[in-house]
Amino acid sequence: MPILAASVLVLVALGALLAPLLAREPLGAVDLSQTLVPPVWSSSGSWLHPLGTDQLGRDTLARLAYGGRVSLLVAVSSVFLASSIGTLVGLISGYFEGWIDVVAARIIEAQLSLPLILVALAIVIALGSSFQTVVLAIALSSWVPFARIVRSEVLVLKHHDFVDLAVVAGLGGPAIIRRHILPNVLPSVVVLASQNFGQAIIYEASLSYLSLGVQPPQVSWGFMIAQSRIYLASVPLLVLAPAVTLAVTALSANILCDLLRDRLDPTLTTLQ
Amino acid sequence: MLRYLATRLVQGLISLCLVATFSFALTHLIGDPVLQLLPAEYTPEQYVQLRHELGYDRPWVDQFRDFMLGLVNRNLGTSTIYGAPAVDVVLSRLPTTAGLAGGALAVGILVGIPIGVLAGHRPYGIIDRVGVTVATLGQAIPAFVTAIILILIFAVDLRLLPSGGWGTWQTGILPIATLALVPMSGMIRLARSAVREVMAMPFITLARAKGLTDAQVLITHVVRPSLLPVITFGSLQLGVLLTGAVVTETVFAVPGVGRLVLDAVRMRDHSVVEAAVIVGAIGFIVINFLTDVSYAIVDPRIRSRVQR
Repeated sequence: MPILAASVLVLVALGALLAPLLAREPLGAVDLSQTLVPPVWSSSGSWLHPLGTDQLGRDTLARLAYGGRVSLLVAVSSVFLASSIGTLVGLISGYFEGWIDVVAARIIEAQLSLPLILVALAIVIALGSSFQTVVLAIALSSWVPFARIVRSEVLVLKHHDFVDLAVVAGLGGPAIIRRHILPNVLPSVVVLASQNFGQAIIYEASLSYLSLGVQPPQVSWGFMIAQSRIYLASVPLLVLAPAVTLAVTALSANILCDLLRDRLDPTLTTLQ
Repeated sequence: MLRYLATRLVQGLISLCLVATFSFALTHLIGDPVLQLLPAEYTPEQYVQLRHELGYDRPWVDQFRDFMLGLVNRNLGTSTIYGAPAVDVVLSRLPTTAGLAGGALAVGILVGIPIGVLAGHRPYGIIDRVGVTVATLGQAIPAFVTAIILILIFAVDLRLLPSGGWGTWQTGILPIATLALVPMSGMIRLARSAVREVMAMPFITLARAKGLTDAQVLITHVVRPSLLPVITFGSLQLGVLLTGAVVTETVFAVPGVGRLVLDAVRMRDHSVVEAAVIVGAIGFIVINFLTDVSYAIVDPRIRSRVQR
């Protein structure tokens, strides 16, 4: 299973990297003489368009590859942004406590009352929708768990002897956080980040399905599904191809992160 | 208890102010809604005129004051599509969305928790394997894909249920089933791990040693302590559920808040979108408040932790 999952992700990543080679035409080019070409396994299909073409004559496989590009880039950047914001807030509020911790707790609660869809809507009316705003919306709605887990770990870590020794050695707060606390919380952050990765892929697809995501000519799996939905009964492959790609990619990401968590989280292994 | 309630209420109000400030800062300071409202090609004169008409050229302190006053007076502007106050337009669609999300949460809990408890009780048994597979799939497949698969099977192939609309009970089945998959998957995973954790506790061994049967141990000793994390998770799931509800409403043409807001984004009816964001945030603040209060009722330890 893990090997299969890993190879799916590698395949999507390769497709994303090599998308310009897979596509004969530039992204978004329309060819109305080649609309709704059937896939290669049907009698009238050809290897020219292995998965056929859509209602505007665009090659489905090439669009899947370009969609993978958006999916992976959005997922990686939003998870990175979310974990950075969350870790920073958690480190500062956990180490210094006091009023700064109270302020952080209120900000976290305010953020919890703004789930993804509300943040995305607010951002779209203010800034329009683009690659950057999708990343921002996903990151803003997923940094809280990072802040919580880092804060709770820092609260324990800072009472260890090595922190007291660092204080005696004359190090200031920021230096202690950077040199002695941060390296100790990073493993948990990595596990949580990997768990958020699959979720971020789904969030991106959902937003672009609602046309709150990246805008044409950029293409995303969610957007492809939304566009071909009227062909669901007549040409189901147009909808199923991006839908299956999306589900299999997210599933693979989740399987791999479960594996990573089981390996890195000692509390779980002792239970079994 | 009273002191806890008061503290918690003040905290909720602070959150509300923060959320309001956040949405104000986003729309009035960082972004430029005027740009979003103008056609693709516009002249600088048009820009200046629209900016003036909407009041965005006033000092931002004045704008902030009016925004906050509007919030208190339930006045967040008038919808350009419906010609009615934006808050009223949003509230009129709220029951539909609440019904959809509430139904899905209920189904998710009623199906997910029993499966999760049984799965955790017998790790690696048949229920465990099936339950975990369903939960893993449910968390990897987004709502609109589930919806499309369900439509393909039940509406296109079998012609059993309508593919969209709202009103009769048949129209409710597919949307609620679609949306229920998300909380159900989470409940299975969580109930399963909570039960496994409790099963390892010494008091379970004691209950077994007393000679209780498996079923007695499960019902009287395992389920109750396992439920607390499940409740927490349930309230956290509501945010995911709302996002899912918007998607589900779009696929099944359900006339709830989600469809309203997406149409409003498309037609650039900004006051409706703003009103929906604020109303949604208030809803979540109230839900978080109620969750915390119900905890304090259940668990006396929380009441004494007021200080923070």
